[in-house]
Amino acid sequence: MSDNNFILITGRTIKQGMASVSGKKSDNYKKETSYVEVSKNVLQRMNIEEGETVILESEAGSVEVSCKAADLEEDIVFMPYGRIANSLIGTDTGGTGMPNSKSNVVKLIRKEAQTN
Amino acid sequence: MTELKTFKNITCTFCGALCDNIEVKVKDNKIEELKNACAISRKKYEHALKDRTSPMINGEESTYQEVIEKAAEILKNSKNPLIYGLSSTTAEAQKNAVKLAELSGANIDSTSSVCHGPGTMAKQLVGMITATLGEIKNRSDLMVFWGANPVEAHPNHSKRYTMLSEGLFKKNRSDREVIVFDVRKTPTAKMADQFIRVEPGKDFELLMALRLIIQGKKPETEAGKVAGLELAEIEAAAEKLKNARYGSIFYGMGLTMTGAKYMNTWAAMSLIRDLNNDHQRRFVMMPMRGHGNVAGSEITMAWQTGYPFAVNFSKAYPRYNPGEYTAVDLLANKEVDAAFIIASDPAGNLPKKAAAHLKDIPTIILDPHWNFTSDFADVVIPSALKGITASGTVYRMDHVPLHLRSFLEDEWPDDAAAVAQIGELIENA
Repeated sequence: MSDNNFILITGRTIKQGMASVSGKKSDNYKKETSYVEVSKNVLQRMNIEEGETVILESEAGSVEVSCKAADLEEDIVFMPYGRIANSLIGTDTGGTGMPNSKSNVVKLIRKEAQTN
Repeated sequence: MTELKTFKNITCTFCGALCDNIEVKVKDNKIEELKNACAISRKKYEHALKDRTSPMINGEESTYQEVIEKAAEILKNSKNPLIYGLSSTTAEAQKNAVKLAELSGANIDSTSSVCHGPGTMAKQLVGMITATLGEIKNRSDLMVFWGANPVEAHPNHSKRYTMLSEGLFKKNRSDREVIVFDVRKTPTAKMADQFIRVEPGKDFELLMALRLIIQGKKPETEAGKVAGLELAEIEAAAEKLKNARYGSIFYGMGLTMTGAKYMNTWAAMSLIRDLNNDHQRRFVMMPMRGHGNVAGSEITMAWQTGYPFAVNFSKAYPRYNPGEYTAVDLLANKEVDAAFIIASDPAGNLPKKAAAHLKDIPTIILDPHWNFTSDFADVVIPSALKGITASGTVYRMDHVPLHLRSFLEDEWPDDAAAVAQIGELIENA
């Protein structure tokens, strides 16, 4: 895996769960599902500040989200389940019905770097 | 003004743990006090009466009878409809939905196909040795969570049934050893005695290595490692499994959504069989079911059709084929020409490109609350709130059925009534 490609793990968080039952269309639900957790070492290596907007790109699509530093291994990034994460998940189910919701490869790009 | 009335042992329907010890105090059809609810459940009850749907056709206000009739018309005129969702409704509504699928020659699939469906496919291959949560609470001395994070997804599960529960023979946390296998150190992993980090997508390899070691064989390694772990670490984990008297493995979507998908759970279920084979210990396994009645969706569908999800009625008899009759595949391949969504939000929860097809076909949604799918649905049917304003049956993750009591009043009928009425209109047309 190259330096800025990661396996995207989508999953539950307690705040995402609380927001999902408090109105899917609320600002809070959007807030709790529109960030990506990245290893502190990766953020440092890519010179990304916590809270900075980053671009995640997969074969299925791309999204802009803010990033949070987290205690993660350097081969994965994590996003809470939700509509934004699902923009990155493809529809190939390998004959099982299940998309690759925890095994999609995404590219992490600094938004600032792209606009410069 | 009415008096404050207390309802005890109410069941929360948010997750598959179905906590049935919620206490609510009600006055003037409003919840005034709430006890024993987890952080998510509390929000669910607080929000229950807000943000409610109302009958709509093509964005215009309508009547309940008109939306029911419109739904029947859409399904009757469709050549290959999809009925999808079902995991947050009652077994009664699920049963009526199967009948509706038969009447309309529909595909019927539940959210299980994007959840624990692959695990269910594995069960069909190898079977799963399991137990009730009560038995695990009372007896299990080794608890393994594999690709599961109940601390965030099922917040009261550990207190009621596992790590922190007070069982008959296992009284507290110190009576149980807890191991978490995962790709990240989740809050659940932080509560464990041992966290074993699995290389992403290598669960199958690790499970098979554990099986071989338990069978007395030596697994092949790559540079001395399997799934990113030294062989000695895997041997030590296998030893712990062997030394348990009553082990339990709770698995999450870390197994069903990655690499080998159903083969991951097949390997885990086979490991459980191996551990039980020499009668030195007992081992059981259970999926950490997400939605309140997703277990019920599989049970009801299997009872009604012979199959747990991904069922097609286009030939008037049920056919089963995950990968073909599952919602993501049917939508992504644009094979369905109408959709009836029952208590779910595919526009929020399915891959965007699959959900997009719902905007191109007549879509009906039956749900008590507005969501991303009701935003564009052609027909919106409101409904009562399961376990709050509607009664019914739901199945806990260990397949124990629980009866839901209603304790508030509602202006809308429940899901079961709505689905039955649509079916009757099609049957009698």
